[in-house]
Parts: sequence; structure tokens; C-alpha cells
Amino acid sequence: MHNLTANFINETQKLVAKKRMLVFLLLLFFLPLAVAALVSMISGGNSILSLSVFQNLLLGFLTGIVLPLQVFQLTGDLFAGELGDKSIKTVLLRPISRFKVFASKQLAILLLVAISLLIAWLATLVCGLLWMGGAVFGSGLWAGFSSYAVSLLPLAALVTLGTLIAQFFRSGSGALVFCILLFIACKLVVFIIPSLSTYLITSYTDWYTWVGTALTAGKTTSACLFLLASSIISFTAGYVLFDRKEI
Amino acid sequence: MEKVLEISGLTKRYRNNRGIQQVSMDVYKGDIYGFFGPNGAGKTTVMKIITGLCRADQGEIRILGLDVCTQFEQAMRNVGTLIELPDAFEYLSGEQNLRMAARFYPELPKSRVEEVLDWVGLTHCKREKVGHYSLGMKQRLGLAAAILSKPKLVILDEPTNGLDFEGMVEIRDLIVSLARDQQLTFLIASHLIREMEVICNRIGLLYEGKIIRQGLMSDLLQNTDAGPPQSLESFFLQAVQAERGALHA
Repeated sequence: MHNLTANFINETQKLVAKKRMLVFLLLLFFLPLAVAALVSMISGGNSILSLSVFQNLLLGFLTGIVLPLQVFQLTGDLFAGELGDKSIKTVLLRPISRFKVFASKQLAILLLVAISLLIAWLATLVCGLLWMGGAVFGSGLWAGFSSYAVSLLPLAALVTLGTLIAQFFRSGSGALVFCILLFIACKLVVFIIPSLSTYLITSYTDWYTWVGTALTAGKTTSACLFLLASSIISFTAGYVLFDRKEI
Repeated sequence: MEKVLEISGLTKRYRNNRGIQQVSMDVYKGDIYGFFGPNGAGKTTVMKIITGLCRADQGEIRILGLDVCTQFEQAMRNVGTLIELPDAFEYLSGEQNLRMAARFYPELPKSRVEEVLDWVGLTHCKREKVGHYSLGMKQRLGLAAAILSKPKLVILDEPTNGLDFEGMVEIRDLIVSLARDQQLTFLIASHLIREMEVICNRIGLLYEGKIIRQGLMSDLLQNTDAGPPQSLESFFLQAVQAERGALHA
């Protein structure tokens, strides 16, 4: 367990040490502020957007485009990229099993995604305080937070899928491009065959919209189980490929 | 004598039909074992299999009695390695790279990173990003990472690669002093045969994937016709030529 924690800290440190990650997190905080300020300015200081609408709009943009891209980039960097430049040797030559390396890398990516969601949520609260009438601490606070929190589940499934795909590449950019193309294809195919959406992880990125609605427990449970099953399959297949890698 | 590394019947065949066949060797505590062979003989393959970077088709490896396949974590706790080029994260400083490695060994004191940086002469640039290091500096950092955990077995593949003459002598002296004073055991592959002749006490000669000669350096270099001991270079050339002759006969 100690080695898993040690490598989880190392992987997180590596991700945070990259300048582009810092820039990304700063943008994640300041861009919503800029947008809210602009909207407020255009509307002459009237709060035409409610906090909950603003939060959902931002979350839709994040889970639909930005965070999947972040997931694919991070999985590409930590797996395919490190295999390509062989820097993965630095950890594989330490007293840690490949399973723990594999798991800790994904946990670090998931942590960064969770931090991204948290920063975006905090940014919306600041926007609410400054430009949306200041009604931040009402009953919508919990609903807003839970929307951002549950968005982590489909993104976690995407982390395992991105990791599986990265095992077929030896360059981070190659894996990223393939993942993006696959993501676009998955988004487009449901327009042609809508019934497929049930079986695609990418169709669940907006399931935060279910929170607070009168959905049956059965639908939520089946969605949870589908995401869990997909994650287990992707994780297991990815691990088998990772474990067989010869450096 | 205590066996630190035991390899028996190690075989690995690549798709191009090259690889290693039935490699068996023992390395004892305090040994500096020199691994020789022409390019492509399989030296790096053996080292990669020992450290789990590659898998053998068959054979067994034990480090201090621990099976590398089934007890990998415990076995690797006793091993420090530098295989092929040193691979550090270039966007981190040398010190950060070592501190990350040190997290796997909670028993190490915090001063250990400073200590190894001092040994390899990188204290003055420990906060510089590794991307700005020269090849020699990266090699020194790789050596620092290899000895960081106070391992009982140190596996080095071309450890003086990229070092200037002064650096080569420093690293050679460091290896000898660690083996002598701390009873560290070394397995070293290098093409610098004269360097190896100075520091190794035991050698193994690998040719086309097989170990064709191994033993104590003093025994192997002993001249059969009672003359002065031959050099490692001439021993190497004679052994390789004899093997080529046997293969072509």
C-alpha cells in the first residue's frame, strides 16, 4: 500500500509540475469569471443568468469537451508518452508492482480531473457572489455541487478507456489524436443510431442533468452499473496490455 | 559466500530470432561482476529481465534468495539500477527526481538525497531542470538514483557512458569504494574493457546469447603456459574467435 501511495504522490507531482497544467487550472478559474463579467456588463448589470443555469452551462461545456480532452491528454502523457521516451523505466525499476504503477497513474489523473471540477465549481460560486445577485448559499448550493461531483463518474470511466487506448501507442500525441477522433465518432454516431447511446461511455458525460430530476432509481442504477462494468473491462484489458509491455 | 544474484537457465527469444539461451550465473556478495560481449550479445536483455523490464521465456532469477517473478517488490527493494540511458523526468530538477525515487524507501533519511548528489558531484546544479543537464550529468544523476536506496545489488549498464575522462575515473573509484567499504555487489556491463579490467573481480563473457566463459578474473586470465597473465582484451578476443571457429566448424 505504501508503494501505491508513494507513486500516486509522484504521478500527481509530475502532472502538476507541468506548466500547461497550471495554465489550464488558472484558465478554468478565470475564464468563467470573465464570461460572467462580460454577460453582466452586456446586460447592464442585471443578473440575466441564474447561478444554477450558469453552473449547468459551464458543466456542459466542461464535461462535453474540455475534461474529456484533458483526460485523453493525461492518459496519453502518463502511459504512451512515458513508454515512448522510456521515462517509465524510472518507476518500473523501483520496488513497486506493475499493477500498482498502473492503478496509481489513473488515480492521479482522476484526482486532477476532480480538482478541475472543484475549481470550476468554486469559480461559479464567485461569479454568483459578484454578478448573479449573491444568492450562492441557498438550496442550489448542494444541487450545484452534486452535479459537479457526479460528473466525476463518467469521467472516471473515460480515464480507464483512455488508458486502455494509450496502451496501443508509443507517443502521447498519437494516443491523444486517436482518442479525440474516437470521441468525436462516438458523439456523432448517436445522431445516426440513437439507440447506441445506451452502450457508449461518451453518452453519459451529461448525466449530471439527471441530478435532482424525478428519474426512476432503476435508470440511475443501470447507468451506474454500465459505467462500472465499462470501467472494470477497460481497466482489466488495459492492465493486461500494460503488464505485458517490454521496455 | 553469500549469493546475491542467482540466474539459472534464462532464455528469451525475440521475434527476430535473437535473444539469450540458457544463461546461468551466480554473483556473490562484494563482487564486481563484469558482463562482456560484442554488441547485440544479449547483455542488456539479461539486465532487463533481472529487473522486470522484460520477461524471460524460461529460467529463474533470485536476488538474495527472493524470486524476481513472484516476489518482485521485495526483491527489487535490494536493487539499484541504471539500464541503457538514464531516464529522468526532464521537466523536474535533479533533486526532485531523486526525491520522487526516495518515496519508495520510507526508511531512508531525508539527507540521503543530498548525500548521493554530493557523491556524484551534482550538488551545485541540483535545482536545475534535468532537461538542461549534459549527457554526463544525466549519467551521474542515473548513478545517484541507482545507489540512492543503499541497495545490496547495483546493476549498471554502461555506467560511464557520456562521462569525460575525469568523470570515468571518479565513477570507477566510487564503484570500487562502495564494493570495498559497504560490501555492495555490482553487475556491470560495459564495452570499456580496460576500465572493467581494473575494477572487476569476476567476469562473464556473453556471445550470441550464451555465456561462453565466466569465473574469477584472476583465474580466467591465468596463462596456461605459465607465462604472465594475459590482458582481458586478449582473453576476450581469443574467446570470441574460438567460439566463432567452433560455430563455423
